[in-house]
Amino acid sequence: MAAVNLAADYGWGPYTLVYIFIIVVCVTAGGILISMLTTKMREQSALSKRQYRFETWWAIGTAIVLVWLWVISYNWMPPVAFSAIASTPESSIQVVNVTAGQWFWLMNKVSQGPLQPGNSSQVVLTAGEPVKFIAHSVDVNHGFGVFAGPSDGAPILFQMQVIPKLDNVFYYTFKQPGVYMVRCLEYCGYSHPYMTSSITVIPQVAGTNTNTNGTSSSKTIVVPTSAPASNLPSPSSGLIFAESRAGSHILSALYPPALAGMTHLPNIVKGGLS
Amino acid sequence: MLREERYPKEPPALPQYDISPELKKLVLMFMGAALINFLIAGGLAMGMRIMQEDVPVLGVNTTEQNVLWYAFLTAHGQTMMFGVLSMNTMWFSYYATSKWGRKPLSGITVAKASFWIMEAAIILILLSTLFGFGAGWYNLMPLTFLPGQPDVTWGTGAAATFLTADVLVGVSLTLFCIVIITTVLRGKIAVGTQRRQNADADEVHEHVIHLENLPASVRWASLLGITGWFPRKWRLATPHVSILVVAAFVTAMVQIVGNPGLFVQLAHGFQSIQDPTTASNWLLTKDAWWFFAHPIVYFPLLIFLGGLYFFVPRYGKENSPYNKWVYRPWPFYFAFSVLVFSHHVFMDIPNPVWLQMLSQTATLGIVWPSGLTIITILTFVWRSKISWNITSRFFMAGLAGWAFGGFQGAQTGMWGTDMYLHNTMSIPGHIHMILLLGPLLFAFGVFYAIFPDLTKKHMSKTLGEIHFWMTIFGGFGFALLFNIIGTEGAIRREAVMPDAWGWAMPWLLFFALIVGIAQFLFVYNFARAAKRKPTAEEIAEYNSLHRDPQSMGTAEAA
Ligand SMILES: [Cu+2]
Repeated sequence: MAAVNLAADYGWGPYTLVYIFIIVVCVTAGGILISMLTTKMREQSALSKRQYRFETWWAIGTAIVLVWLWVISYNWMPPVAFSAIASTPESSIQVVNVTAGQWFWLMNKVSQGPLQPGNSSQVVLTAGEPVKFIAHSVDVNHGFGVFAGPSDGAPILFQMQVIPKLDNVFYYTFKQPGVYMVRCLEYCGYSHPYMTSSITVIPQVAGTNTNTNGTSSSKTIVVPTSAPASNLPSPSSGLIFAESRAGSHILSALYPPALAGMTHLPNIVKGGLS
Repeated sequence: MLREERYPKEPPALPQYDISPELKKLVLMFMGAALINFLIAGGLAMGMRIMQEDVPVLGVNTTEQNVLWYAFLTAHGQTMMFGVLSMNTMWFSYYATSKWGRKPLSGITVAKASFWIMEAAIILILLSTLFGFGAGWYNLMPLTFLPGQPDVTWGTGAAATFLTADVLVGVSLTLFCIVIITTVLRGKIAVGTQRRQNADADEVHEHVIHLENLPASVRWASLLGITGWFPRKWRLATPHVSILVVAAFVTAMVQIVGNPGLFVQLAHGFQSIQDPTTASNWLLTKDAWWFFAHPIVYFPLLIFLGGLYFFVPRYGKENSPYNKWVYRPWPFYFAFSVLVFSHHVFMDIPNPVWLQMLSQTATLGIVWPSGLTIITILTFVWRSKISWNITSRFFMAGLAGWAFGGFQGAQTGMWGTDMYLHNTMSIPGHIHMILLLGPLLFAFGVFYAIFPDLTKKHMSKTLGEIHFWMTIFGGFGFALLFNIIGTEGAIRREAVMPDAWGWAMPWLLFFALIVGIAQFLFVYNFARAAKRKPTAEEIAEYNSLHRDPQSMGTAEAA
């Protein structure tokens, strides 16, 4: 299904492209430098070098590569990548509200109503179904970064900036069930390193969605392939934020009461909470 | 061991035109101040490395230590960017415009003011650090105005101090641009005109002209390097200014276009201090900052690329009178430098689509002239009998660092790859590669090359060699390590690094220490040479290089 191929699941992934670039750099820089620095002619006039026309061919070659990179990147641009979601029925999209603040993440599925005190601030989502994240910041810029594993050491899956007073929207479809770490990727104050949370993705029940290869309609359950169950946080673990480690302010209870009472927030940007 | 050797071995092929003693003094003042700022900013970086080693400076994992870390981070970034890299560009641009334009600087008083205002800004930045200010070198509003807990972190006064410092930075940069642009445009300036000699070789005829006497289109085509793209017949008819004058002029033009971005951001900031309820459009302030701050990343670079184009062929004994490829990248540097603030706003989804498209185009666009510069410099070296003095060593190492960092820039300039790299440690890796191991190495090279012209004295070669190798080893070491852990998903601006990357921290400290120690050797070398009297041999050499100080000298315009 087309809508699955959204956002960070296109392109070459975090490692492949980086390594290709590194290899290209090392090989070309190393090769050129070695040949330049070791080959010395006894007599060499500038004019006879000119006839090699390095620059002309190099200029044409690099221009072609750059145009090619631009073209393949076009589909990765968020508006272009997200446009595929337009063909997906609204009902099959999981809409998640994300609220970022110093220093916490609150997440809730819109279909389950507003977040209530005592509820978990983390979401449980279904693999294979598109997710629409709508993120807001109650104070400063944050970065909503989702990692491909339950803890540090996993590569980034996708990210977006969470700018105060704006709707920051990102579409993504989790393919694998498991636990995904959420980390703030934009420096947002002295407890920024502790601003983490997680998203739990459970397997899709096959046959209940459009995700079939057309050969079977049996209700087999997809077995999670990552993150053993023991790694799952308890559903009521609530906020993961810095206070215990950094000794910062105390967010005594879950919101909305807590948000209203956040005295550490200065008198700016109270807007942005939807 | 520390004998004063004639260094570089062969006298630098500088124009014979002698710049004014006043300008020499100003350049030396800039150099000295930039060095002091470099040591301070480096010391701040060392402090960050030590704290990330989980050394309890104020207590590991405490608010206080984290606040201190972010204050160091902020001051390190701005002091390096403005107090070191920008100052380097200022001294070399002032020097180069006068030396290769063969004319006094218009407004030496204004140039001096730009120095003092910039240094005052650096002092204010460091002062705000003492108050705990730590909103990042990019001054990411509204964090600037969020003091958190007033007893442990910054208050409005610290934010105001920092914003005032940045106003001074903007003023200083603007004065710099005005001095360079007016110096180039007003009065006579040295130009070369290519003369067809025979089928194989042209010679360049050197003279001084009033640029105002040229048609405006020709004048601007010449100053922005566009003439390099003219058909041969037209090129032969057009006077060209020295590549260093082109570089200084493009630097000033790019920055004067970018500076309003800084002032827009700061105006929003001061408005927010006055009345916090008039919360700004923070996306606009961010875009405005980067409209200024991407040019400021190119600001340290361009003039030194001009230096490479001038010095490298001379060390390689290439005597091409005119090379169109030297001029060809410059109009592209000019156009793309002002449009290429992409890396910083790609992850801001609410930005308009056209801006994102433009940014990606400009980022990939600026790779192109950069690639041209690299290949042209390499053709100068290839099969040449280059003399490997300190300057040419620093230049070639800087070229490698800049090329590698540039490739990483292309990665962050594409949305699909920036997704995995934005705000990871690979960005500090990229920026240290492209700035510390690019323009800063170029600046060291120029420093050694023009020091005899400024002081009639040479610096110690032995100390210079040690400085070079230690800087390269340590610099590439930690920049590459930044990249590796960043690709693995380590996030930048983390006062406390997650345990997953604990293994890298001692290595980062080790490499940073190597770079740091090398700079003390450099300062010692500089101070020692500055203090002593020139030898008879040095005076004789200086005089022979300035036989006819106000003349056009030998062919140097290309
Ligand atoms: Cu945050």
